[in-house]
Amino acid sequence: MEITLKKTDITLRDKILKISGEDFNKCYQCGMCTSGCPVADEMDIMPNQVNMMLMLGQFEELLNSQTIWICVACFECGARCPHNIDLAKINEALREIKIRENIDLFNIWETASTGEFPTIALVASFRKFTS
Amino acid sequence: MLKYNYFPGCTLKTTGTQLEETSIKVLQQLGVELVELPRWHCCGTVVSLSSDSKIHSAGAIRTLIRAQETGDNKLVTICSVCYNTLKRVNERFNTDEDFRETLIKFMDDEEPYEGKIIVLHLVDIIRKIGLDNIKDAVINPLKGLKVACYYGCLLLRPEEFSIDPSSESPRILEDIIASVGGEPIEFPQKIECCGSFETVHNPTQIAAMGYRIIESARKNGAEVLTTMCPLCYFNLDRTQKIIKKTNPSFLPLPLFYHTELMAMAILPEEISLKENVELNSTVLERIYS
Ligand code: SF4
Ligand code: SF4
Repeated sequence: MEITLKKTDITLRDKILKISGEDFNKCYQCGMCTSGCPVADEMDIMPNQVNMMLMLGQFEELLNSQTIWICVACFECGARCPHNIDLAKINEALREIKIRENIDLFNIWETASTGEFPTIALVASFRKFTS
Repeated sequence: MLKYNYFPGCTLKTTGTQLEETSIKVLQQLGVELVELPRWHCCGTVVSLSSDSKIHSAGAIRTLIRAQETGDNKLVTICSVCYNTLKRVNERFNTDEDFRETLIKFMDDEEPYEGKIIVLHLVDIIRKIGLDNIKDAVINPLKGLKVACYYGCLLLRPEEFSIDPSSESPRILEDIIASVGGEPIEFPQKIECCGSFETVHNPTQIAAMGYRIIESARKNGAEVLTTMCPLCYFNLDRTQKIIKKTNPSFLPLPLFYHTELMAMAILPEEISLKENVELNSTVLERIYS
């Protein structure tokens, strides 16, 4: 197999490392995180693949993935990871990079008016999906 | 009567009123009074996972300052999200100097938080009361009702903030249910996520996750499902309503807060289980017969 290295934006890598505080380079691709993830079926990039892509510098692909918005921060991956890598923090860092560009995933006011939700779910959605 | 400061959080005053009402009544019957903080605000909900984000923890620190003002060093929470957030922010305040200093400076209108509040969960109080004492207080045991005890995420993970010594194989909820005469059943999905805040914009995902939990409980012999979390309760209830709409033959599994089940056993006369009555009538008939 031939792997071609693209030129990647290293500042983005450093930003992800800094915001998450997690070192994805420790990952050895055992897949324990993905096997425990309750929403892996819905993701376009599996939790272990997130780390692999980070190591390969495929930041843009990750920032444009569905996975980062689908992660519910249930902390199961971190509980299972033999290296204690908290993927919830890595996904949050990727989300934050998008949100800090003033991007909203959806119009929360419109969505919130579709039903009566627990306050924690509403406030958490504001926090996770809007700038 | 033993008294504790208590922080309800927003959800126990809105969709989770049954959880608050039954928790307070049950504890009162067992000799513990929960005293609501005189002033409180949102804990900020989900803990911020970004290492450079501090402002999102201000709500939690302010809540801890309100507790500090009472002069007592303990604060009891019932909501799992509030518990997890207050506990984690408190820990970060005490271990991350930069975080601590920034927040103290940011809130210079307040007496600085000293970091000494111990954040407790309702379960810690139940443990302190003692399961044997709870057993003694039972006047209407649950008659071997088969209960699937569902924990969700935030009461167990990350491990260092778990309400149970084993975050992967917890027992405390099962022990509580057994102490009031129920028969806890094991099922593999008991610590899996309910979908959490995704409920706001992704009901399909919630229904898929909830269905797995409910069916796993049922397959393992559960007659009812119990949870301690107001968000899990909402999502599991919502799941059943969504599925029932598309598949009328779907049989919902009765759903109760653990404190509702405790209340049925300890103060059966006093508790109104109004919202549950329709769905859960057969279970109620059996317990109250
Ligand atoms: S469990 Fe940890 S080491 Fe294994 S693939 Fe996932 S992140 Fe990598
Ligand atoms: S924290 Fe996110 S990635 Fe990890 S198991 Fe939970 S949903 Fe999956």
